[in-house]
Amino acid sequence: MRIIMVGLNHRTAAVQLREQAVVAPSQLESFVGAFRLEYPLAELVVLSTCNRTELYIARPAHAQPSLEQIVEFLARQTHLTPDMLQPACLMRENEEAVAHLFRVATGLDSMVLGEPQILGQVKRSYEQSDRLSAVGPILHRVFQQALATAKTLRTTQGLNLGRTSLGSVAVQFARQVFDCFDDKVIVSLGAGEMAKLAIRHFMELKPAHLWLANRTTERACAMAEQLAMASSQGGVRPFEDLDQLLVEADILLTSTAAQTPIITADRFRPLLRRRRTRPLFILDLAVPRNVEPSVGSLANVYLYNIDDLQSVTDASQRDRQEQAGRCTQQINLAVRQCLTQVRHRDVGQIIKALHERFHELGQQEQERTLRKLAALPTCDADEQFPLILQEHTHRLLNKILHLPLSKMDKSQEDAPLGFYAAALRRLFDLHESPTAPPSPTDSPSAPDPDPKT
Amino acid sequence: MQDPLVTLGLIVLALLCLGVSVSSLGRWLGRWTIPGAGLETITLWTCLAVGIVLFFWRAFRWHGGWNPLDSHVDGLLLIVAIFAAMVLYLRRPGFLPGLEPFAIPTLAILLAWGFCASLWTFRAFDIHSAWKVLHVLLSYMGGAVLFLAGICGLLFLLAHHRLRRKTLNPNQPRLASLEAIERVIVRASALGFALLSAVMLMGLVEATSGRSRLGPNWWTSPKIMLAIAAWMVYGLLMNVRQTNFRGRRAAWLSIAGMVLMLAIFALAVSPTPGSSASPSYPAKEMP
Repeated sequence: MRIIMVGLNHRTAAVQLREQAVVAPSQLESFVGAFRLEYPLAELVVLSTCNRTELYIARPAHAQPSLEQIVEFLARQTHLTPDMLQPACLMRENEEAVAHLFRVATGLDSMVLGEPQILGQVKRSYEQSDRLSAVGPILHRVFQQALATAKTLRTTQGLNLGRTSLGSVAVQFARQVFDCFDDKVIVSLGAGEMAKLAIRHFMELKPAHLWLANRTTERACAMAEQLAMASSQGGVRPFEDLDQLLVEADILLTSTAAQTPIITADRFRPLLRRRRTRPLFILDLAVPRNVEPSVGSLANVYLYNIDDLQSVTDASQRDRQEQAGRCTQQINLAVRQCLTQVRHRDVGQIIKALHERFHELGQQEQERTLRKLAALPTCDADEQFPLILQEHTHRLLNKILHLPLSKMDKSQEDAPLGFYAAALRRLFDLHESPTAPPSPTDSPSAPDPDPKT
Repeated sequence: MQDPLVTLGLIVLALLCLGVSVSSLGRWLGRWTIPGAGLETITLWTCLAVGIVLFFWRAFRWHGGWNPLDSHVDGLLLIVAIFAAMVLYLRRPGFLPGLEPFAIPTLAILLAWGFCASLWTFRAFDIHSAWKVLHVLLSYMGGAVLFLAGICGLLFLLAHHRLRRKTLNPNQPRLASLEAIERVIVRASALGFALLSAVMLMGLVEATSGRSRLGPNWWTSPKIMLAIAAWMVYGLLMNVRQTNFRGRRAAWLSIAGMVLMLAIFALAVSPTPGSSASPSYPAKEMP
């Protein structure tokens, strides 16, 4: 049995090529149907996201498709050419293919290390392919093991913990101050890109009001339009209302281009009484800073600047790198265990098939022999019985030997005769003839024919 | 009445809470990642269940009828049960995470106190009227609520400290937000204030009835003065959002209030002249 992965992702292909190679959910059924028609013995799972399109295939060892055939198939289905796909395609087989799947499911191969969405995407892809009857026992085992391992690693290693974007870190800090945001007022001073990104994160919290203020009112209005703010949500206020805004604000974002702090402790201290010492979360995204550091020492004021956020994201990224290292070791172990189970299952299937095949042959010969015995005249039974039994044994052995020996026909040019010969010697414990020349080894990895020597 | 079963139950529970406190503290400091949340839940439920069972056991066991609050140990069992129930309610998912490192040690202390009260400092209350019963009952109920406000004050200080450090350690369990903690402090203080007011009113009735053991100058008793101080503290706390005492000041006030309540309980059950546990009243021993 062989397990193959062929596909492209954000590391190997540019976004334009990835866009064209996407297998949309609406196309999945026809994609899988075409594959099964062409390669009925192969199992298939299609994983297609914005960052990767990968085909996971399991097939018998000497069956189709080959790697090149898979690339051609993918190119046909996505209206690309093999020449366009081949350079961008990642190809992995057996242990490497399984290890790749495990890493993908755990989030170690994602654009953002440890991102949590990929696990759900892998699971959905597996389920969708299963619904289309494209998944067989091998890929069932591999994908179930991959999903279980990924889930365990994400939980035990904390791979999904820690924030990696400044906006999400800022929101996380704000959540440590406030419990709910639907009664909170957010004020943003300045119209910079950083502020816009941060505001987008805070808008997801659905605050009661969002006020924008900038020295240039037109820029604030433009930013309000870009943020698609409804009038009931808030709007633009004059910059001159700064003191009143500081009294009303629960969350304050600053990102003006001022060269000196616009909010100082002396300015803010008298406003505390008007605020009734309500907690205030200040996010100063400007460089140079817009808020004097001493403001952060005032009662119930929580001041964070860009460095504070950056240090958290850096720490998260470092943690994830360390966790990724630990995860890799555990993934390698899990992959080996998974493949061992797959191989054992594969061998088990072969043994079972062998038993059934030989029993079928034995049954056929037994029926033939019993018919002959039944047709014997009684007077000839004692004389004919040994001959019939000898014929039965001879015929049965010939039928059994015909199966492997027919494959060793020297007229077949592509038959791996050396491999077959070595395998037969090993499996049937055949000793080498002392006068026979050394056996030619077509396959360098041919097993030792006589392990006793 | 002294009861070996209750004494044994209290010490076992106290030791359990002590062990879980250490584990809880280690987990919350991020020192180790043992899955302790389940252990904390089990401990709280055990304290609630055992507290209720022992309370009713003592109420029915020795008197052939309903007779709760025979002594301070009964009151402590009541506090343990109420406190554990409140913590279980507050720590449900997404509500007030982070209470455990303070709540479970508090339970350990209360249970240890109960153990001492059941074994070495046992004194029966002098219950002679319905007012006295209500006075004692509401004082313990109020105490449980106000202890909760106090540990929420400690939780607030911890959360505030984390915010000032400006770090987000993903290995440390999440704490409740400052706003959520302050809300619980205010509500617990309001409920505790109401109960404390009722307790003081009934105490006033008792004191002016002529049967009080505090004597004619009852208003100079340390217990009364501390009770008035606690009453004022919680009166301020429940209105803190309309004042400039928000934030850390409110947290420290709630902790101060908790200390005052502990002192009041200690005075109320200490064998000082005029207290309900005065040695002038013979202790009831086991038959």
